[in-house]
Amino acid sequence: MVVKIIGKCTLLLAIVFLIVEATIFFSPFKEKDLETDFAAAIIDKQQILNATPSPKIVLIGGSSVAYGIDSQLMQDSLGIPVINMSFQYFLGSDFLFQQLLGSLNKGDKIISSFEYIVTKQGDKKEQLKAASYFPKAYDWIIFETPDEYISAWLRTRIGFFRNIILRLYDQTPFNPIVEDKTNTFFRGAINKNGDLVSHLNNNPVAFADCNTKKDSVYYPVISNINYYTNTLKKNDIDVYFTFPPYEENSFRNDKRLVDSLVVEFNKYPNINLLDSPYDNIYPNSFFQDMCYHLNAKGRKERTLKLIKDLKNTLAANAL
Amino acid sequence: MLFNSIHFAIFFPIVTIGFFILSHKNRWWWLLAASCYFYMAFKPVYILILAFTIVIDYYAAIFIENSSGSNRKKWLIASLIANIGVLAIFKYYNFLFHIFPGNILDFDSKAFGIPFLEIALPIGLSFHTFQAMSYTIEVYQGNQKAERKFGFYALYVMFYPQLVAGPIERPQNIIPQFYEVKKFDYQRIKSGLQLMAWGLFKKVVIADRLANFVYEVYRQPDNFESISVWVATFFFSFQIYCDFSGYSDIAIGAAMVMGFTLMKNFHNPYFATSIGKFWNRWHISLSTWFRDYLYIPMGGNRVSQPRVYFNLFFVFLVSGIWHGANTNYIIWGALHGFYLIFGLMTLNLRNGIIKSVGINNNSYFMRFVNAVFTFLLVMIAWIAFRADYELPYFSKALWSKVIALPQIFDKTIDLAYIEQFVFMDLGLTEFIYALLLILLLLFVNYLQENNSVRSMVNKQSMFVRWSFYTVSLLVFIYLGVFESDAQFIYFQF
Repeated sequence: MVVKIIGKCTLLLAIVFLIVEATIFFSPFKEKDLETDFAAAIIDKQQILNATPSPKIVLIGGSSVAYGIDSQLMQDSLGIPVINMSFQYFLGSDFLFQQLLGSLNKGDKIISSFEYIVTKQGDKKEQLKAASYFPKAYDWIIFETPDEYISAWLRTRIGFFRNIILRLYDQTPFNPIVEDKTNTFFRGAINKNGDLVSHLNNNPVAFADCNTKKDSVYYPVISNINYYTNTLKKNDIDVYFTFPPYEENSFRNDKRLVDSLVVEFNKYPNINLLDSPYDNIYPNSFFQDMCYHLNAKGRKERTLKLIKDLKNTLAANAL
Repeated sequence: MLFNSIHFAIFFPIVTIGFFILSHKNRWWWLLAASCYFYMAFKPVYILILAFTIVIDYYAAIFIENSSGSNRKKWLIASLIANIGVLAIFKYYNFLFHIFPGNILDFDSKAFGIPFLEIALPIGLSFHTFQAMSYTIEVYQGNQKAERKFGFYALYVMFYPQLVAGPIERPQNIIPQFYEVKKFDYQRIKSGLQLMAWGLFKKVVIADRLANFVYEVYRQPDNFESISVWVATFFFSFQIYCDFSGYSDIAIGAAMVMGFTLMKNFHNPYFATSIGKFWNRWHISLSTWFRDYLYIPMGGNRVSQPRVYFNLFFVFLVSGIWHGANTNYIIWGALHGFYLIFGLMTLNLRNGIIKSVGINNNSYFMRFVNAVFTFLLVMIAWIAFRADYELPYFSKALWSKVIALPQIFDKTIDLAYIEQFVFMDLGLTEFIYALLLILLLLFVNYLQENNSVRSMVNKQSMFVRWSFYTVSLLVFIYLGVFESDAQFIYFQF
């Protein structure tokens, strides 16, 4: 009886598993995904990173960095190559640091900036998705327990399966280009420095204020920044942190949270802070489609501010 | 540990297989160890709170049984103080701290050395505390013998399927079952697994999908229109039902697999034709708890009419407070109390009108009308329940939106308006899924009114059953929400 019931349950799960895996394996959208999925931009960004000589400045963070910094302008102003290795917040701070480690040399500088919703560990499902395009990324994912791995793996497979089914009945063509006025996240949306540029000519979109509430999830991010600051310092690689740009109404909602994060940052004197959260509050008109995503005007303003802050810090360090 | 996690998917078969492999005399410690592990997966240190109340109540019950006269009452009071004290410290202390010093008396509590407790609420605290209290009360009332086997009593409080979100069991139902030899019964196990699967479907597919709409509107009602608040509240009514009854189904199903029978916690509550009947169908284990241990001891309905009204209102107010130390739960409880009192006060008048007009109140049509009206009242109360009172700005904006519904006739309703304020920018497809899932739920509930859906499935041929299971599982995978932070709403209580 025990064997019978276990056998039946196993058989049912095996049938469903085979249907899901066969759907993914025979997906007619594989090539299209590789061509258009923003997660696949990890391939291009890694190529840019490895092809750029040191010393260089590497930007990391979530989409606020992808949207909101003009790397070319920084490069022209500072006279050293600048690469934007940012993706989206859900990859987590640790993964975003990890992706750089094999490609850094003495004298390189990392400028990190993580939105207040970033976690240290990130969403393993999204990390596995990125790794499906760039297998080396599997080494950058840390699973703390076996069930965390199983859960992330299942969620990734389910995500692929769902996407295929959805597109089987929604055959709207998806051929995004930088010049179009609607699409933002797609593989071809980045420029030669790695900046996301597809949004620059898009129409602005009205958005709700952000309201983060929980600050405790960000504390491990701060200790993570501290860890990489100390570790990389041993190889003469400097890590800096700049607070993310934040829309003014959202900042009002989250002021208490942000203030508590400043207190937490102050517990780590080794972290090189380029600015304070108050320096990065911008009016609503500087944002594209959410509280962290700067538009062209905001991007320019933030980049100029960052250049100034970096120059000041470097000059102060040189003294 | 969440029922909708991989952790539980590994835990459950191991515990169940272990349970059946072990001999009857060894099963209790296996289940107790599994229950401790289950609870400690949330926050290990909080097991000490459970241990504290278990030890107190275990001995209190024995002392009650061995005492006579006023000493019995003293031991009962000691037990109740211990249980309510734990609730007071962990659940209500900060609420009182917030309300009295800050908002009412304008009194600087810190200056008087009264600290704000920076502690997380132990998961399911109100559930297991109420279950523990029912034990000592039943022993005091002579309906239950004090349990001498400490492990069995501990298991009564900690039995993992119902430990963190009920059903809130009575000792007469559960403790004798620990003495029974549970045999491996294929049909019962199959039924239990089917019930668990349906519970999981309700949680992962229906509740968590509807949650997307609800979250969008309730986190910032100011950005939405009145119609959005009503749509979101409609969805929330089903979200909370599927979330909580889904949990109960998984709990009852998991216990059933091992041969234990837990009490029914929901019986198609949205088919209720009055608020009174709603409470016979919603969270039955809690409403009967309040009936037996609070309402009846207060005199129930065997007192003067004004006193009956007071008793009802008081019980529902306490029921609101049971949910949490928040203004919204108090308003929610008060609203239900008000509904019931108003219903009682107008009962004769309404019956008179119905009689004079010649309407058959038991006709299918009238039952439908009454069910819809009851649902509307319940839905309005859910607004208070779901409102985010952490920022008063939100709740004010929310209530102003609620009453602004008639203004919809002044608006230009076009596709863009519908897309933004009815679909909450989640798209037509998502909206249709939400409606179809609600219809599916109501259809299953309708079948459940008279039949067992599981026995209907079991009567089909093997091909039909296997096709049904496979398609259901694929739908579950396709429509389910598998975010790792999708907790059950009632865990916070």
